[in-house]
Amino acid sequence: MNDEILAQQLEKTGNLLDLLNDDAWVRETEAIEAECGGQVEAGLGLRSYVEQLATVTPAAFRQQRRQVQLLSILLPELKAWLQSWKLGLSFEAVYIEAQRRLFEHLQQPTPEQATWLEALLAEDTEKISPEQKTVRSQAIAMLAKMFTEDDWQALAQTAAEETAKGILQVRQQEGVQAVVAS
Amino acid sequence: MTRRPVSLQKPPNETVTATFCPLTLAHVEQIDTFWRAILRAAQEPDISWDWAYKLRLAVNDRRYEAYAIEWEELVQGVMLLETQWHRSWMSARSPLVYVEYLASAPWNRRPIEDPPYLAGVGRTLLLLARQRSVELGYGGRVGLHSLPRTEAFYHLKNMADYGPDPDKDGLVYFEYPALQR
Repeated sequence: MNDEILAQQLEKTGNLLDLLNDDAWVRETEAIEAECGGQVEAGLGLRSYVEQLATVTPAAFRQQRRQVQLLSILLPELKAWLQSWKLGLSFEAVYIEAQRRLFEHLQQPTPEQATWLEALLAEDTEKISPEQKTVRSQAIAMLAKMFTEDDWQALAQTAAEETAKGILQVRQQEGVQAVVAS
Repeated sequence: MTRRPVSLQKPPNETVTATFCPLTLAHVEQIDTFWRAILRAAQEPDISWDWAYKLRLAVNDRRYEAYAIEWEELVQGVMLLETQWHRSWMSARSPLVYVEYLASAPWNRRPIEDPPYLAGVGRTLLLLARQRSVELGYGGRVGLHSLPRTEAFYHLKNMADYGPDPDKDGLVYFEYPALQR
């Protein structure tokens, strides 16, 4: 990191992050990163995790790459769908549980799901507008079918527990305020 | 710190706008599920996962600031900063931002995926650490313990090398000084 350039950037805009829009700076940093192997990581607590990653096979990484591509398409669809449920305070907890359930299904899809997921990935590589993505437009219907009775029960249970927790927190806060006021 | 847009490279030649944001429990859950899955797939018997547990605790600890880079609803990188207790190893012992953890998602690590899914996540987090140091009044001072294969990067980025730290299992300590304005 060239501190002179950083200092100039601070003088200019007050925000170092603006350098990320500077092509020359980005290219230079990319070159440095590539020259030394491309790893930028820190922290003793991460050491064993990084060492373990080194033992993972290329096939396992290819499989994960595929799942990441699927998640990058399906998570925004899942989130928008859940937002339409108007879950209020329980939204985050339900979204977390739904993500976990979706990920489990992606590990072991049924033959019908596997075919659809392949079509979804193939469509994603095409240079077409979002309106033309007919496979992606089926995402919510497919997610609804993918979730089992057990999944739906778990989501409902999570929503109920989080709502109850939220209400009890309000009671606790109101109680504290009443004590302070007296 | 609120959410901020950050530009990242998506190989081969696309620039995407990701979001830098405070870490939430939903992010930690993703790290626990999606990032960890690759080690489970490899059937690693003793997955060392204390760091994700610490992230979970840090979300509610005022000494720490934890951040994520998010794109397409996925956590692409994570950083944990300690902002109150650490001091510079230089003579003045000035306060600094200490990087407890800086990690990219497994699919963004170049040694594994070349090209990575998104490039530049780690170096962007490092720049964010410096920006945070400026905002906290520490002048851009940042300290960290490098993982062994990352030392070359910090050398080339002109970070001062203070040698192996026996308190951190011999990891080399690096530090950026304050920016001269």
